[in-house]
Amino acid sequence: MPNCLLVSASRWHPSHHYRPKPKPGSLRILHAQPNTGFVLPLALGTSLVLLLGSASMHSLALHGRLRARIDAQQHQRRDQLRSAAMAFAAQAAAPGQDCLLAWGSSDWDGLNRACPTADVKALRAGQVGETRWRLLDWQPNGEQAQLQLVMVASGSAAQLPLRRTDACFQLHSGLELLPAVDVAIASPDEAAP
Amino acid sequence: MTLAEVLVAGVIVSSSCCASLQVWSQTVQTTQAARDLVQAGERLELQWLLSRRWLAAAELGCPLDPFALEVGLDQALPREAGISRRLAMDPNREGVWLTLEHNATGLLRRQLFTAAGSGWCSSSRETSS
Repeated sequence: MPNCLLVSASRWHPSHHYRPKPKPGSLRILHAQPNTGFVLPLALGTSLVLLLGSASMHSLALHGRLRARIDAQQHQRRDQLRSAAMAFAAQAAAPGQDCLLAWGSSDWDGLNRACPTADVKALRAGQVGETRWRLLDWQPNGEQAQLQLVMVASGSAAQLPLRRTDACFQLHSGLELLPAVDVAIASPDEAAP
Repeated sequence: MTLAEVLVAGVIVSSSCCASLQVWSQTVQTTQAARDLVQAGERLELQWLLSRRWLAAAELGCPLDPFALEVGLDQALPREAGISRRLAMDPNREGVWLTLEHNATGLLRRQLFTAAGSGWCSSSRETSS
């Protein structure tokens, strides 16, 4: 069998580098090569690289989509807080509320006699759309005021600037998100459905 | 290198290639979806800011008329393809709800505008940016 290749099963050793030249006409026997068994580790390594590479790229893509969704939710949260501030401004424009709005919200409880026609409850909490909001703080400062409120369901809170016009407080651009407030702990009666 | 070794290696490599191709295909789809979402959000944000600016500067009388408001808004800002816009009166009649929705992705922007908060019904009205 002239084309047949016989491979020895013997283990490779450095001393096997030297092999006497076969005599003409004799059967050539190839000893085991030093690269025996390299295919399987190579295949495993290649597979590992392929799978890890594609998995990491996929996780990057998922992260990008998640970030886009979080951005969209952030916009919606800001819209909700602006809506609540608009509702507060509507309540603040009601007759008799001016008496309270000249003071910070921490002083309102002591102004019952001074402001008999004011509706404190309407300023402290309300509902806009399907979600309830609650006032955290109101601080007037001349013709301007800072309003802090929280959405009861999500706990997201914000501070918004308002400016007094002739008849009411007008909402201005510039909404600053505040750390989320746990409304259930801060005021359990508001969190209850 | 035996035949069995080559066969096992072939099976491993082909399996991982197949799985990797599937993951790459999903990666392309996810990336495309994320890109669509970002672009939709940017288009919606632009329309949102323009609408808010127009509403803030609008000369309105009280009580509010959402139909007249919508007609005025449509004339000032033609509707963009793929984005639906609605103006509806609040059930408590506190103001009007502006709703913008990106039809393909379902992204939604919605805000209440009250006359007091927008400065529409005061005698010396000022506009917010």
